[in-house]
Amino acid sequence: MDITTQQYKHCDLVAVKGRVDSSTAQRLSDTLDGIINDGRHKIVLDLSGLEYMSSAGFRALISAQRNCKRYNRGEVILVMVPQNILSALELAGFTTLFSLFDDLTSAVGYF
Amino acid sequence: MVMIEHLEITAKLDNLSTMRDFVEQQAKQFGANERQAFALILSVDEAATNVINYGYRGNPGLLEIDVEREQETLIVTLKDSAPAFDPTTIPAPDVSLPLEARQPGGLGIHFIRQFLDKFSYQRSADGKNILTMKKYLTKGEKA
Repeated sequence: MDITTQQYKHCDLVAVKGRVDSSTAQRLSDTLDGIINDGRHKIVLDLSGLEYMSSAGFRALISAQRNCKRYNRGEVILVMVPQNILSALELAGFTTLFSLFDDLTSAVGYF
Repeated sequence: MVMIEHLEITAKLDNLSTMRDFVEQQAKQFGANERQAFALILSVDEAATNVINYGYRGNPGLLEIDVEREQETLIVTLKDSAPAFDPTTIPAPDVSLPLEARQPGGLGIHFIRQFLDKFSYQRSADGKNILTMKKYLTKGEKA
């Protein structure tokens, strides 16, 4: 799993590539927590390079979403979710908890 | 022709990717498409994660994985020697709850139930947990 982060004026862009499982999900949590603990709560997650994500990764996403949405201070949004991962997101009932976008421009423009 | 392949690995989270690669390669060799292979990979990953975290609990142990094709069914069997535990009894999480009320647990088992066609548990006479996960290659396909 590779994570790259970029700080924009109105949001943070986090690109996750490769495979997120129970051995790597903690690193994703740490990255998201780091941004949140710096006082930034608008996060765009670029998942276009994501090859795989298990429930450990989903737990990291929901925990970050809970933190960001607290006091209406922000939100985690998901961009370019691969089809396999999307079917798991739907089964987990996550599509009602996260806004999904097809391209980065509209995702970043959302904030 | 016998279509069964076997892998034995140390039960640790770092080995999950090796196990997934093995299951993916064998499942595809035995005729699974991308979606069917993904269902099996995710399921065996979730099941093995539970065994490592809650079965062996950090103690050394082994995971034995078989991938087998029996007519139009792909079967992945996961064996471990941790204390007896039947994951099929874990209740389904309520995936319709709002964000604040979501519980962290149970999602892995939920994926297994939803993505596979059959998921069963038995405890063997020689003290092993045996999880059998089945995915039909033709009819009755889910997800």
